[in-house]
Amino acid sequence: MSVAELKERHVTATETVNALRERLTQRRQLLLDTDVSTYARNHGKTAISFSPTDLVCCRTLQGHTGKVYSLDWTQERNRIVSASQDGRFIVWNALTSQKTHATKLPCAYVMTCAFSRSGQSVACGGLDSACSIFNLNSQVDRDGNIPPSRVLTGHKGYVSCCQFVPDQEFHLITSSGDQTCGLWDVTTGQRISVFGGEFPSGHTSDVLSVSVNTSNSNMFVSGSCDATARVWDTRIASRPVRTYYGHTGDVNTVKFFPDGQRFGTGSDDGTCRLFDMKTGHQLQIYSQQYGENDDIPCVKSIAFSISGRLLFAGYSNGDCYVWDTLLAEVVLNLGSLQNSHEGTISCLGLSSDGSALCTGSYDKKLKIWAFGGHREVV
Amino acid sequence: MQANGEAAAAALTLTAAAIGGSPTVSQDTRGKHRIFAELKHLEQEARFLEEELDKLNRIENVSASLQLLLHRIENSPDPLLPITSGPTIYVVGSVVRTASGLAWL
Repeated sequence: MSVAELKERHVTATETVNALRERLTQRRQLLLDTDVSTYARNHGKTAISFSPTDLVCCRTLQGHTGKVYSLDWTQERNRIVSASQDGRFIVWNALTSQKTHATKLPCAYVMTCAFSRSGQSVACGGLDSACSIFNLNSQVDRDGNIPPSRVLTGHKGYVSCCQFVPDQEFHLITSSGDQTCGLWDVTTGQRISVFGGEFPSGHTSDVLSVSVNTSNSNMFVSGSCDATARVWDTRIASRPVRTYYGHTGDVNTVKFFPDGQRFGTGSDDGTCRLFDMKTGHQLQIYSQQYGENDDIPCVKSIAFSISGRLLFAGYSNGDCYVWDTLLAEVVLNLGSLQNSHEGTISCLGLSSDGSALCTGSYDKKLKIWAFGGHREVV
Repeated sequence: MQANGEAAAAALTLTAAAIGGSPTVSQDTRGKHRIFAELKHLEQEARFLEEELDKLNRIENVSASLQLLLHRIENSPDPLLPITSGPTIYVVGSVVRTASGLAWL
């Protein structure tokens, strides 16, 4: 076949794909007969009402000398690991605020950190395009730093996010600026699978975030600069299970809903969204009204409360909105509370029992928030 | 609800004009291989989209799933809410105790 003929077929195929996408958009639009907030209001639901002292900052973790970029809780014993622009990760006892470990990283430009299921290992990744694994029980070197027990190399771009697979101590999922996600065996250092990249249905730009489904650990969701989120089955690397459209900017953060049937996203377009994983429907948009000339703050990080009723969202302007997920209303702004952060809240994480939220900020601190008011149990 | 026109914007936009003009014989081979690979990708993408369209015919409206969502949220205990269902949340004065027994305040 000649080049000219190939080009003609290429043009035809492009038109076919574009037409199919348009049909898909229109078909899906017909199925969007309501959203969560309209449905909830029609069923008589009203927004959560917080008094000013209901959610309080009960701990401030100080020690980093640079912006905090990432944090993660252990499954039990309530420790937190944080990674910072100062090139270190620190492990904190969240109840006492004490540091249990502080280690200088091989590459100072860290972007993400995560605890393994047992809490014995920490993974950190960043601009070195690698993910370093640290065993917290290892002996420290002469400088007092824990040397990495394994370095996972293979990505061709920065490692933006990592998370251990919840029921597998030695499997790690990463996302990268090379447009792919990876599944790794941290004991061997081998990359088991690559999600995206050379395959056409993978992300078409940097991948910024991953979240593993705690109800079905074979599934994870990724968010990308291509403005989409994609759900993957770790057993099928060749294509995503589904691609979710809607955002008009980079998807900076993704998080599964507590029941694993839905997931939330946060984006540079200033909105958070809730998607149904199985059907692909966009269930709700969480957005504020802005003036035409206003700078729209980006959503940097999100977390759901343990019931899913609250969506916490950290924004680039220092706000940390608490959204009522059912009514799509902002019910609190942690960023404006007493004793709150003095900069962008870059990362959020809920403790495993749902009793506390940890926030990390460009002000170099982490804070823990818990309920301090009168509670009614029904 | 928002029109998902962004999906169209996310569609591939390569056109014949972007591919380039007539190359020489030696450049022709490289161009041909690249165009062929892109064509295969496009054809595979079209198949995936047709599969998804087919699946959409069997998917329910948004409203069909929301009753379960409401039920799930309202019946899950939540230590961060001022009103929540039991029994795993215990209130002792102003001290919040969860099933794991932690108290932050």
